Amino acid sequence: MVGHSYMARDTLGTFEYQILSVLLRQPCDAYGATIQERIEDTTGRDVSIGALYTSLDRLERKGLVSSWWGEPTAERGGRRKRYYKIEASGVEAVRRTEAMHARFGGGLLASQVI
Amino acid sequence: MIEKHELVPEKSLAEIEVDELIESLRQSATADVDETLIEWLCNRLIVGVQGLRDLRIHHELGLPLPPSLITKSNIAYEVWRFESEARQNRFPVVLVDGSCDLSSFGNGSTHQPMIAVPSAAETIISYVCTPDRLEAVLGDLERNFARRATKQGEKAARGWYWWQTARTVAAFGFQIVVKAVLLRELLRKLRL
Repeated sequence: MVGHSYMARDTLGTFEYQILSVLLRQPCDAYGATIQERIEDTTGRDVSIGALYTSLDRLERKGLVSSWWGEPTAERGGRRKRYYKIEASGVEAVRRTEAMHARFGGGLLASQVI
Repeated sequence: MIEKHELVPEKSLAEIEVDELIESLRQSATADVDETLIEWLCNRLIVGVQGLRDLRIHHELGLPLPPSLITKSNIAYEVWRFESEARQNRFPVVLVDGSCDLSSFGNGSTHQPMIAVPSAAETIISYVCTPDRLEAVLGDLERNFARRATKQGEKAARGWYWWQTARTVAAFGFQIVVKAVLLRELLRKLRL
């Protein structure tokens, strides 16, 4: 559903969580290529730019991120950057997802080792 | 053997205005550097910092350039491109002094020729990508392509671009298929 507000019970998928985590650490000047690089550097996973933008669109429809056009640069063939910023609801979604993971799996491996 | 000449020895490119840079280029022209080459570089810098062809009119009308477009990465990129093309054409190469910061463009290497992205791949992406995303997607791909070409060479960069194209088509194509299926279902229900 387009434009619906983020529901309290919703939690983020892994890729969505990674994107929002990058935006949390880079709040002012994150755009597609820098988000892609950061996720690849952190996870070692090869990220496609298409998958990244479809996820960013989904997050924007949920109201978790906002975006705006930046300046065109020669390095980009005269094309503009699309900057992304995490919103308060996005921060809340990250917090909720981390809390859920901690409740669900926290100490699970530790208890097996003991 | 390619000769080296200092261009802007005192300041980094990030610190100087474009007009000042052009003046420095003119002053640093030596007897064995073709004056037309310097002129050409000046024009390239002007076009480069504006980013878009339309904004060239801005300059020709004598209007000030938007400050947001005179960025370190734009100027560094134009200098890199100038050097690459000069090497390809066997011009006497004018290198920027080592103090100039080119790190904003890849690893700062100035030894790769200018390589264009695969145009067929761009066309394919433009078919599957929605117009509101297209500019950002192609811009990001071109940026990463140029950096990979500098670091890993043309062949690897082209391979990477085609791989990204295939995955982008898969990502956007999947959305198109899902929408088409949902629309068909909706139409079927409406008929019932």
